[in-house]
Amino acid sequence: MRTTARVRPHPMFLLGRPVRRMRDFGPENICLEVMDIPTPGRRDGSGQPSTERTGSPGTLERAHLVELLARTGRGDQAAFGELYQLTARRVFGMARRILVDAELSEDATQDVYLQVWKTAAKYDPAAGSPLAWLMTIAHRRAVDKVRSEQSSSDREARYGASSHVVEHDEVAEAVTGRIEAEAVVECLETLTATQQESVRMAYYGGLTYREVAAKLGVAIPTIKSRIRDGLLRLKNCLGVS
Amino acid sequence: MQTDLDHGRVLEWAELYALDAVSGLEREAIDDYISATSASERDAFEDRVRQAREAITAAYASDEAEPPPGLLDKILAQLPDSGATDSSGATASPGNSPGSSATADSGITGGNEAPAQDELSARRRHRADSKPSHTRRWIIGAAAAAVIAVGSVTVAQNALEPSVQEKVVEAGDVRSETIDIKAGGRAKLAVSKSVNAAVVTLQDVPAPPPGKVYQMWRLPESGAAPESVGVMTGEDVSDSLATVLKDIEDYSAVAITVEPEGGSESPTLPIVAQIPLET
Repeated sequence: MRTTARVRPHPMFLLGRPVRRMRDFGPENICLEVMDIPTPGRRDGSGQPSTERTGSPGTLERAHLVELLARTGRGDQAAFGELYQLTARRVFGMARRILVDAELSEDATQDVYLQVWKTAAKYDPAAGSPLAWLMTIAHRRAVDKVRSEQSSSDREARYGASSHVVEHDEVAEAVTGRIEAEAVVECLETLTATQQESVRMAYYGGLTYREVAAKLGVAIPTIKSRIRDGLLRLKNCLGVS
Repeated sequence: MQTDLDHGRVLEWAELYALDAVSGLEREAIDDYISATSASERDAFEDRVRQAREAITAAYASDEAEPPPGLLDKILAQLPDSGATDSSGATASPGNSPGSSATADSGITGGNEAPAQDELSARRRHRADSKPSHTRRWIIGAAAAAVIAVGSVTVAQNALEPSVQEKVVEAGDVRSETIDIKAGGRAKLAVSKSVNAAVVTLQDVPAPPPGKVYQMWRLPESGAAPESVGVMTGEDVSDSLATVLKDIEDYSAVAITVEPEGGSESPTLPIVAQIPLET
């Protein structure tokens, strides 16, 4: 065992799922999480505690999801089921947004959670928030599926039909935590219209930057810059570090 | 894009990569480049991708839609080794039907799921899909946690190191079962292949008849004669009694019989409880 120190679990926890663990840095060992380290107020992976956020819905949710992922990684189906209950609307929502078709969306969602089951043990809290980890898988699966199901031109056409600008109140309802929702809305407003358009087209349409450039009739380097600069501006505004 | 990689420019691709706005081939090219580059450039790239993903998740990943009911069940049914598992987590355990055993009135019963509030039995049956076993394999030598002696069954704990009992219970591949004992009470089993040990906890077992003791045996997989683990008096079983069995890989089951005081060389039928160690 590679840990340099070990916390002996309180006898109360012996017979059940362990709640406390020391972080293990060995590359091939399990990466476990001490439950009571300060968690960032925002779901941004920042190491800086935000005093106004401690105990906010975002903070509690993150810690809980980290625990569920750790337990899932140990084969705990109950934890996996709970993780599903907490996140499936969002994963399926992502799939629907990108794939539109209900059956394809269901397939993609299944694929996502099977991948979660298989790889939960590898989730490293230092590499990002549990929700970002999950939604990254979800987005990737949906995009791979839409790319394999449809030719490029179909996708570009379909994106035009189903896309819509997310209204401010939609965002506020969907995002947990009023303060966080407002921050997101404000930060999205710091992007230019063309930056927004390019990012959304790529993200929700499953299009590559080349396809976005072709659809908008804009030079490839321009599109690359718009997408990159838009996301950099967004991350800086949100305080992601 | 290959030009950029050829010139060592990869960081500027972090946002597009995080957005999945690159083609499959481009993604592979980036992955190949990153795995071969210096640690500092890899860290910088991965950090930037991480930050982009957090921002993207916060801003763009909030659409919600109700998945079809029963989707979770479908998913659970596809998990490795899940067998007949439904979303509430109850697992159908194979059991011997009454009267099917070779020995009449032997009281051999199969495993049952214990009530949910029992922590040990709340663990699900699970094949090692995750942990490499070396992280759980402890050296069980002179500082062994369990001491089993002929004539008595005792469990001693080393205060400095997690006991084998703890290791079993906390193992990633622990399997739990409860077996009802015909004479009364139950035996709770927690077994872990990776720890190569099992914990048998007897609860609410009535005292054996006067002049008798319970004796625990382990049955070799080879079919050789049962080996005595130890004897338990009425006093021993009056409280909950945990027995730790190490090196269980060579044994197929644990059995309990009623024997004259001091125990016997070989089991006297009937077997009052038989606990399978195999999955």
